[in-house]
Amino acid sequence: MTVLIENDGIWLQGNCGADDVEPLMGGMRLDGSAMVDLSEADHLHAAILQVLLAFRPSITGTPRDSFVRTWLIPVLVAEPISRQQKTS
Amino acid sequence: MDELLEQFIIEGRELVEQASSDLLALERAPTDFARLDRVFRAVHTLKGSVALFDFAPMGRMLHVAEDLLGDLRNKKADLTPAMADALLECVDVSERWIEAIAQTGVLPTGADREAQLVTEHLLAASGAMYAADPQPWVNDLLVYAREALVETGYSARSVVAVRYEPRHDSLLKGDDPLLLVRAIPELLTLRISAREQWKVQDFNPYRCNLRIDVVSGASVEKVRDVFHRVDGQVAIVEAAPIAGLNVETAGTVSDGSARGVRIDAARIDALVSLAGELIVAKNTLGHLVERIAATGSSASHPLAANLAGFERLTAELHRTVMHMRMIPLARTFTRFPRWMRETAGKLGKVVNFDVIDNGAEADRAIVDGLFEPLLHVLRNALDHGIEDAASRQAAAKPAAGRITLEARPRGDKIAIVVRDDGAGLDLPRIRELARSKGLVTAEALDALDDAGMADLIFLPGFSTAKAVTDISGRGVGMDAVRGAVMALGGRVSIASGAGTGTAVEMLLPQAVLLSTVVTVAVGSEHFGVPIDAVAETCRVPHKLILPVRSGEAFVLRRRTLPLLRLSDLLRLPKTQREEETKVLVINAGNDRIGIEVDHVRERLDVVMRPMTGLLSGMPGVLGTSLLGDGRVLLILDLPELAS
Repeated sequence: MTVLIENDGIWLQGNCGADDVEPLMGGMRLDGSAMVDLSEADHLHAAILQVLLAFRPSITGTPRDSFVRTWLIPVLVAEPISRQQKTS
Repeated sequence: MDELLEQFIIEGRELVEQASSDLLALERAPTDFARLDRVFRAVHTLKGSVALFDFAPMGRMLHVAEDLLGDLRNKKADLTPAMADALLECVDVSERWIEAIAQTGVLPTGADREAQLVTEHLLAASGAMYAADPQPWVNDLLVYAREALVETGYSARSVVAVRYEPRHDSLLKGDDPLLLVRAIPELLTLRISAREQWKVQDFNPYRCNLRIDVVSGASVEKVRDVFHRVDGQVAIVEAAPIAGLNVETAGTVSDGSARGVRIDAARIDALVSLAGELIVAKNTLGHLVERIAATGSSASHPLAANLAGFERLTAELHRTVMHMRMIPLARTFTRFPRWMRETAGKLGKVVNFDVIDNGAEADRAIVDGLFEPLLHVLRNALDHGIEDAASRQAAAKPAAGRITLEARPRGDKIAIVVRDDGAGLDLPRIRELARSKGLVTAEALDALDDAGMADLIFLPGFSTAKAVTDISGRGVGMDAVRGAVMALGGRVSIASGAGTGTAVEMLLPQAVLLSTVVTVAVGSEHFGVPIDAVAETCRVPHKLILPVRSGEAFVLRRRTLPLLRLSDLLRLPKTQREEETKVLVINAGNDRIGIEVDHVRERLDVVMRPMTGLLSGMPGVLGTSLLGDGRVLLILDLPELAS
């Protein structure tokens, strides 16, 4: 529902849908230094997930929603092979 | 312990020791094929020996280990650390079980569950949990999901593998594939990856690039339901576990880690005996305290108080010792599954047999005494209860009959129920048999309801079987079962539904009321006397017996006590007196009396059953007890007889 950007932190709150993609992308940095807090995220739309997977910001916060917490967090924090290749 | 088992233990210990050290060496040098071969042969030999005994979980576990070792030996796979771990675990568990068998003769409780876990680890390590699927992504996904499947207990069940690749334009169309994923029931594994590499420049978040892999434990239909709108974008495959890993329905997941000490049963019996003698000593002390009280001494009050404390302790000790005789009912039950399998085979019937034991315990005497009656009831269920395949099919029942044996605490008692889903009791036939055998009059039969009719099978002489079975030497039929259960202080009943099945229920006391009795002989007859009625036993030389008035007396430690002969009290023929007569000194009211017997025999712990019916008022008799050899021991009330 809401993408809050303040002080270099991004908070995703409630049901994050297709409308939240633009604001979220605005907060992304190409170097992956952005920090996204998911503690209050109840759902992530597939497009939102794609943004997070593509830009690989640091993920923080323990989501209160069990599906996001159990299944999406591991996907988001897994070390991607592409990132390793990037730095070489 | 029989020789074969002893041999197994000796050999088994050597095999596991060898296998263990070889495996450890192999971990460091995985290509040492001579060692690998040795481990394979050790496991193979052990598996073979295990098959001779009733250690099925161990056999199954070793079989899987043997398969893995076989693959390694044939160079179909390389030894990985995970495999070495799993194999060592298997060997360690086997070693522990061999020691348990050396102590008790059987596998420890929980062995079935433990075997299952080790097997899962072995299979997981070899990556061979599921039959290889023609679509490689399924196998790949299942290997990825391995740990989750083992942890959640799904490794031996069918699961559903899903690969969902939403169309590139699905997000633009307003779909949210993740909503569908949320809807998948029994989600066990979720893996999300990118179909094409993410392009951060010119990134289009609305172009779906996700590959969503899922493993679900739900039915394939339920999973297909979730994806019905997008079924062109998803592949759903049911994956079956490798056949042969047949998980037995273990009724109990009993922990088996109860802390305990193994004690020889003979030592406990010795303790029981001692506790009994302590009670006799306590009684003597009690009498002395009374004597002192009679003198009015100032010490009498503290003495009496002390004695009361002593009595409490003795009773507590007795109770505690009796409690040590409690053993799990599972001990008796372990023999049944194998017997069931064999007997069912002989009778040509297919039966699923489940034992549900909630760790129920009872006194050893009860647990031991239940074996035969239970065997008989199980045999009946198998033989007469479960119908043949044709009849079952005609009745639209599953081809395999179902028999369950369940033990459950009920208050301070234990209920043991044998249920079958067979044809139930043939009440009209029972009625006819009772009538034709003259066991019940026609009027009485008419007055019976169904429950009463069912109860007729407990009548002596009732057996409806055409062939006499050789289960118990004491007699065939439910009357023998009832007798045996009643001898243990319990009762048995039967309930049945026509066409649906039968349930036989035994209700037993958990702690048997055991009385310690001294057995005495008069002539060729034996009797029991409760030990706490006996102050002491002594031998009185012939010449110290004095005739007095209308009877006899003797001197015991400077006191003169009346002497009665048990043969007189019981109106049995007089027997020849020996040089030294054996005398039981009993307390009768405030006095002590000597009762002469021919012989004082052993002390026994018996289940005393009170006299019933017409005999319940009989003077001088406390009850009866069924001895191990089938004799009935009459237990006398000597004070009553003597008065």
